[in-house]
Amino acid sequence: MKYENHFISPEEIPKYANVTLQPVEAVYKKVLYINWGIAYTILISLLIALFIFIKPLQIDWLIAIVALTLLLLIFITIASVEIGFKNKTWALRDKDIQFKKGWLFQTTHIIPFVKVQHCELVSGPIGRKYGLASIKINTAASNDIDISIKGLKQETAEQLKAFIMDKIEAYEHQQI
Amino acid sequence: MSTNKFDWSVPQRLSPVALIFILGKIIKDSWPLVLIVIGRIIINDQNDEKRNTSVGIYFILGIALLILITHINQLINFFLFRIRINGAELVVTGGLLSKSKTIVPINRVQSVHLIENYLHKLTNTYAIKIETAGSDATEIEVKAINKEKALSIQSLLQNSVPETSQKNIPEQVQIIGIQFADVIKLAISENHIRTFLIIIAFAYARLDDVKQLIGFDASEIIDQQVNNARFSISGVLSLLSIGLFITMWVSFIRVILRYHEMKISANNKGFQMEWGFLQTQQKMLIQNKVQLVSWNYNFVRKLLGISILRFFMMGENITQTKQHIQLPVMDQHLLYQLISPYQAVWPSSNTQSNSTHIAYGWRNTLLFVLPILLASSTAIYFWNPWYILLPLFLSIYLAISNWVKYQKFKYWFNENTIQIQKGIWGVENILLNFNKIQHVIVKTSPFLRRKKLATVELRTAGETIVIPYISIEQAQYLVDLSLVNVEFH
Repeated sequence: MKYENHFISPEEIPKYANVTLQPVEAVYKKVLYINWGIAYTILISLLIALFIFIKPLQIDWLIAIVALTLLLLIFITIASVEIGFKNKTWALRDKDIQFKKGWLFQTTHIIPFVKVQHCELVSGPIGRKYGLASIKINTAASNDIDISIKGLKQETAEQLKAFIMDKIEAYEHQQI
Repeated sequence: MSTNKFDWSVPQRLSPVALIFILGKIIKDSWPLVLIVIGRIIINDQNDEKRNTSVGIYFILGIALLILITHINQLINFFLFRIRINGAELVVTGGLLSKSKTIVPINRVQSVHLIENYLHKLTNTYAIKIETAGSDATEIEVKAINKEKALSIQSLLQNSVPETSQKNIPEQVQIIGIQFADVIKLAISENHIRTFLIIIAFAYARLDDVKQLIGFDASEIIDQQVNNARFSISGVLSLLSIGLFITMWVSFIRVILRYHEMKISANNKGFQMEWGFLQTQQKMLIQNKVQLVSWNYNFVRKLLGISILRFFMMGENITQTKQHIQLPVMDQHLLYQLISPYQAVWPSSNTQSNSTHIAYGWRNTLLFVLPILLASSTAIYFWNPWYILLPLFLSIYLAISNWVKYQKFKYWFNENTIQIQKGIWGVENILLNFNKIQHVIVKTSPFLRRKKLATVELRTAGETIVIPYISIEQAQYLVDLSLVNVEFH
């Protein structure tokens, strides 16, 4: 092995922040609303059933508090979908993938392809109906908390997966 | 070059000693059940003789049978267990009803751990644990195998690891040998508060066990005794000194168990470690599997010049303390020698230190400690106003520790490495080579964005490093630098 340690001036270092991020598919917002809608329908039906069948719970102020909390939750959900959706962006560079998300608390994930262990294509029933899929990327540092880019077009997700798999194979080949 | 006299392409069996371990495990697993059965019989005899006990006993016997069946599987496994090396793969087969075959590519082996307890010593065997890297760390465990075979497979696996750049270290040099005097120093400088809490937790858990076993609550008797006792200053003092004595004694035993006769030798692949009092353990630490290193000391250890060095390995289970590779280092020079194969240039030696933003010192206090203090104080006020002092003191302590945490947090970095120093009452130093990073995260909150700050998380296959509240430009630069190291080297 040869010892090499070239000096890189700060200007030469590629800047991740200069990359233009692209948004996920607009129709994904609809999928998000449908998912949340289903979740809230189940929750509300459960609560209504509780208040109808359990007599001691039928207190006016309790019902008011539960209703208000629920309204607040729905409001926060709508806000997070609306604002958070704008921040769901991603970008592909030659050697890594970047994904940004979050409403109040924003996080930017960057995973170099050389460290990717495997990559999965996931699609749920509602997303599939709208032709959407998501990509899940795992590294050795992951405990199921790595990047998952949701709301991609099925074809884009497939291409992305093929691209990443090619990269992994190329790096593995290099190591051998 | 191989000096191995065993042909590992031929499947090797377990040593017959393993059977003793399997039987031991059955007894160990079943003793609570046996005890419960005996306890039930005695209690039933005493309480009411007419009650039909047979149903209960059959039920218990049924469970015992079930446990036995699962162990029979283990017994069968003993006879069918085979380990061999097939080309570049380590193959372990076993099982009768559900056959199992584990194949591990040898270059994925992270460490080979040899364990020798007294039974192994008597029978000239070793237990082997083979840890591999990967997201769901596969582990091969060999309960007992002939000593020569164990050493032979360890050296075989070690030799298959690609050489690191350490050419200057001769064949095998011993660099650490912990003496008895060192053990005393380590015991004195242990974290006695932690030991005390461990004793309390242990005692409490045992009390609960006793309660379940004998069926009555011993805590009532203790309460009664405590109420009857008269508290005098001398009584409290003697209680405290007994507590201190027990704590010191336990610390001493813990240190002896952990570090007794620790030996570390270095070769060109990594370090070979050996330690243990009742059971001797040998672990091979392969240099290029080290993700990051950290060393820490408390106030007393700093005075004595001791630090505890820890290697974070790839795929290591952070929650399992038994897997941690940590060793006491008795002087600074040795510390440097041990770390240098990972990184010889510490950024703190030739670069300027950086600090986090001052908000890191007070924001957690303001956001979490104060609201909890206010809420709990209001509730406590209506109960007994004097008790407010308790949350108040706790909050002051937390506020001070948050501030100290901010003051102590420093970091340095050069083109290849980042070094972090942090701590509250002690100091921990972390050294991370950027090329070990797997995943980078930049986090912001509305407050951080307003102040143009960000928190950077550098995830490795061993541990995550967090650099909180630094300027967004610096955060971006750190991320770019990390990525360059990973992607272009």
